[in-house]
Amino acid sequence: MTITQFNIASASWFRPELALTAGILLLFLLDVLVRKQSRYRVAVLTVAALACVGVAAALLAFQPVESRAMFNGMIASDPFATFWKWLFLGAAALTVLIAARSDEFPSPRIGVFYALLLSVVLGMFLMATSLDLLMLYLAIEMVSLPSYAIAGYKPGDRRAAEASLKYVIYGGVASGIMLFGLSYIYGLVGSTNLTALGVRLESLAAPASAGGQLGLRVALMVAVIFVLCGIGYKIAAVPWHMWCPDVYEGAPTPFVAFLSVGPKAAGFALAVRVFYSFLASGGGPEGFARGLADVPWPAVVGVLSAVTMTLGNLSALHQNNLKRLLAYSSISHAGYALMGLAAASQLGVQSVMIYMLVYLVMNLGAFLAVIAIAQATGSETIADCNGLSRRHPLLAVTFAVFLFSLTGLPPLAGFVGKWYLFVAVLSHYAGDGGAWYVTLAVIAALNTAISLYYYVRIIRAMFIEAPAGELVVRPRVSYQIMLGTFSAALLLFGVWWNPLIEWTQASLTFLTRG
Amino acid sequence: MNYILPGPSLLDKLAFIVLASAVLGFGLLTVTRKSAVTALMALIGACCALAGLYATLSAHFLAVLQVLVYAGAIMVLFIFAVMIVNRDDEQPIALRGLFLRAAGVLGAGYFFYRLAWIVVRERRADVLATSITLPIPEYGNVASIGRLLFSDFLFPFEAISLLLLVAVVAGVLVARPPRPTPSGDRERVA
Repeated sequence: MTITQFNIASASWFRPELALTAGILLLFLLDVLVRKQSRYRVAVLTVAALACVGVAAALLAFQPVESRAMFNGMIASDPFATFWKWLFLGAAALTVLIAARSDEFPSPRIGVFYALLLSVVLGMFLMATSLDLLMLYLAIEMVSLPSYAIAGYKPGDRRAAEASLKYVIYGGVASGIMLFGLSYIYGLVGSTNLTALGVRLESLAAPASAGGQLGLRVALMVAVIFVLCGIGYKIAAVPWHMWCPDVYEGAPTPFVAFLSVGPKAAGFALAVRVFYSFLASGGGPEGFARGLADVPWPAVVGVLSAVTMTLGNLSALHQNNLKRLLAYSSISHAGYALMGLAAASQLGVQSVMIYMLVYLVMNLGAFLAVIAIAQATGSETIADCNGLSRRHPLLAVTFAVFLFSLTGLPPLAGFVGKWYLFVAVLSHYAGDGGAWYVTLAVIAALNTAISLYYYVRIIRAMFIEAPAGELVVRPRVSYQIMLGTFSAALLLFGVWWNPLIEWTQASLTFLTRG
Repeated sequence: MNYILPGPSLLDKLAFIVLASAVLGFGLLTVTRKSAVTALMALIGACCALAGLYATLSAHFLAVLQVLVYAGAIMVLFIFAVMIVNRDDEQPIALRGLFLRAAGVLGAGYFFYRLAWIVVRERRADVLATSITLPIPEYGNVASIGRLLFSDFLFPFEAISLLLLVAVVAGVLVARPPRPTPSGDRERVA
């Protein structure tokens, strides 16, 4: 088959992405065509965005299941990618629904928001599927560029401008460093294709002259750390987390809700694909443990994980702004999920997938509750929650469910997610470095206790403090339905988690070596 | 057809040393000058030196593009932006406090020490020089780049076009001038 035929044949595995691309262009057009004054403007654009996500989901459902590389080894189509694509589409659809009824998107500008949101989703699709260093970088930029603009969405808002600028600067530096690391890898191996790269790295690792080995090791170490930097920035792991609180505070809340789950999940998908399936010289997560350049990478990731969750939780303790608090909480959750990567096993990957799935629902729910509170009170501090249980019991109870689930208390789905992360880490206790894995689990358990403190601060304000003044809190009906559904889902999957396990188990096949 | 690069000649090494120090020197000037125009001129110098480096790596097409697009067109835009904004020179962002500065200098020093160490090691072991092979004889010229872009790398090439479109719209979203909203008042812009 010639390369052109190969490119054309790949298109049939690429239909969801094509639908998203068409949707982005359609929304750009509709944004101009539908009159700014029209009463139906928001409705038309929302329906168009949802239709686009729906078509992509339908095409994804009917996609051929076999694993294969597409477009001459640029991107992969495999069950692992399909799992993440479902997660991204779900996050996108929910974000569109939340944004449609939010005050933060004036109707003249909402079309562009939807289009940019969908292009972020397309970028995340590419992140979860890329098989080539070039594609990987392109995908990260496709997620980042529209995000920078949406962070600065509110015109004339100083915090939005600050958020956008900080995001651009941090993002630019992080992706620059990552690109530098990628150039090292390319320089060492002479190929951008991850498949070829894995094979070549293996042959390079074969004993040659001692000096060359040492130099190679250091170069490879620097390169992997640089690549880790780009990924760490996307999942907001310490020490690449500094942008997170400011961006979360300044950006429109519905987009923050999306940002805290979507790109983070995409970062984890990318990390699994790069570190487990290719750079792992033995193949599979276990190969990652055997070490590239003789560095115990799982230990590095484990330390990152411990530092990230501890710093995130300690910083969250004295936050009074709900969005900043959730920002630090999302940093600490990145730390928890990193535990799964540190475990370097199939079970570890599976636990990350389960955690991200559950985290999507509970974090979107928590942000939705914040949006509903902010719509009533005009600001988003813990004091705004005072006496919420008497002003709007449903909102207070569902918010409490999301917060307890974020803590990881049974019988909520957050517990299931955390449970699997702990299982993945503790299953190593008898093996090499078992003591370190136990230490990591202990640190995570302590962090869970710390996080309970600041989540309960909000719950205390809602249920014990007296309401300040006679403020009427009446969330929009669609928000009430979503709050109810999300908490019901968390309760349901907290006691009946088999479907989560089965789905992630079935999605664990990924395209490793071509 | 793969063939192995001949080892670098003395002239190649000399060219590399001169061009690399020019890139670094101009880069330093770019970030240390207070005047925006001086910094920009230094950046142009860095771009041109970088183009020279590309040329020594037999990527002639890239070298030409670097001069035309970056040192030429994009720098003109930069200078226009500086001219329009024309703000008073302000204190540049810097690490404050002795400890942070010392930590920064030490960290950077260690990093460059490591990089230099790699170079020294590699020269001794000659691993890099033998492992680089060139895929085609016309490496780096317009025809071969074009062929690659429209075959192997067709997909990223097309994806970039969408990325650029999205970036343009995103840029417009951020920079759009105030315009009347349906209620008649104007959107506030800082």
